[in-house]
Amino acid sequence: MDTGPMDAGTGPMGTSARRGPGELESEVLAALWATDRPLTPAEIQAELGGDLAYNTVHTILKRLYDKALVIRDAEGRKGAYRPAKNAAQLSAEAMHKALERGPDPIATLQQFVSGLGPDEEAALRAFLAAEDRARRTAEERDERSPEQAPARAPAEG
Amino acid sequence: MYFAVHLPLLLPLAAVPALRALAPHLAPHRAAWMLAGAAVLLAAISTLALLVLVAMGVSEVPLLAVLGHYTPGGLPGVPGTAPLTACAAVAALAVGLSRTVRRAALHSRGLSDALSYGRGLADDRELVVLPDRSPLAYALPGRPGRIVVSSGMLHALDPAERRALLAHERAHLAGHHHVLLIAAELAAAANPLLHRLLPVLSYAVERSADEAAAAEVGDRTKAAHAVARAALAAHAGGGPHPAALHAGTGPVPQRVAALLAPPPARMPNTHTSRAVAVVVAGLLALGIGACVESVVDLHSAVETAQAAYGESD
Repeated sequence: MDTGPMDAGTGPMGTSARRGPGELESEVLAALWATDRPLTPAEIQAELGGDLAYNTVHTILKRLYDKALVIRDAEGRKGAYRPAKNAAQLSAEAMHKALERGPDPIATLQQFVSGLGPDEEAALRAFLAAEDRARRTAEERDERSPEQAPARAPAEG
Repeated sequence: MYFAVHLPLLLPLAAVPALRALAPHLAPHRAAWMLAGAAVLLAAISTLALLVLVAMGVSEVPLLAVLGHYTPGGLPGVPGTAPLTACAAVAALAVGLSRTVRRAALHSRGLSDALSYGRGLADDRELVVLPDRSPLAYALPGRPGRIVVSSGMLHALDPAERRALLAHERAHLAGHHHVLLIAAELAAAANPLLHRLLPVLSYAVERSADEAAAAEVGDRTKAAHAVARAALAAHAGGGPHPAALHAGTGPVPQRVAALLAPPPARMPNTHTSRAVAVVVAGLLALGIGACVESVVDLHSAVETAQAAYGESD
């Protein structure tokens, strides 16, 4: 969804050479969990960036399937995969139980993000909004010819 | 000797502000190792200094003088008030030790929970997804370490942001950040003067993982997005897991700003940062020196007193 011109100026996305098989498994699994609908290997390939070979995605899905972490979508499209939710449910309960023993730095200090104050929330919202505006402007500019630099911001609400 | 032994006890008052001032000038992973290492060192030498004070006080006890074969009436260089100081030192040691033991028990329980949970997964999967709408993500140490993320968090992020999140948690595991955090936490339990190092260490550890995430996606702005969006998602989703609430408001905007700034490797090496580094190194060396000096002096005082006792025989 987001492999467009936004990244062109800021840096290459083609770093998959460094991604090991375990990391790719995580990425594919994360992609399947991030959506409510089953995904085909081609859709996963498109999600993760074009530099990933279709065969690689297929191999990773096979490995995840062997570990019973993904299931083939039975009623839906042929060849599409869903994450195996039943397998994860047990783990989740055990994990929550372990976490509730906290406060413990293993569980707490390593949270990706901690709580936010109102000012902090406003600052982050402003940052993301500004980035979205910049991206839309860049996309518009790319659609036009390079001679006509856009003088006005996109007029959408 | 009697002056030197007090120095390690007072040292955190100068060293902690100096360390806090130096940390932002270092690359985050260096800052994390420096802060954790300094915390453990400062706790160790202050504990050793308390033990020396106890030994000095005990040396004033006449019965021990007889048993230890030295002249009663104290060791040379030890003032008459040493027993009183020793009582205070015993109290400080007892409080510090019991706090440290309690925290250590909590951490070892947490670690064993994490390990047994990891064993229960029965495969080597790196990513464990919790089917939970509330967005959360953390690194779980173990062999192998796991990345635990809720499906709610994955829903909130785009593919590049998910990659940044995974790289961030992976960096926590690869960098053994939980070891640094636990070591520093135990040091602060032993010596409460070190407590103000903990938020700085926690921030350095997060920054270090953020830098790894930025390197993985090859785009600092995208990594900043991931941090900002994850923070907002967690906030909107009723906050992170209740166990995390005691962490209070985190310095997420600072982390975002740091990712938008040039990478730390390109940070200017200013005169100020070099001066602060020299001060920190000097203070730590002074503390070690004072500790060694007071132990050596106590030892030689006992030997002198024993020699005097032998002559008077």
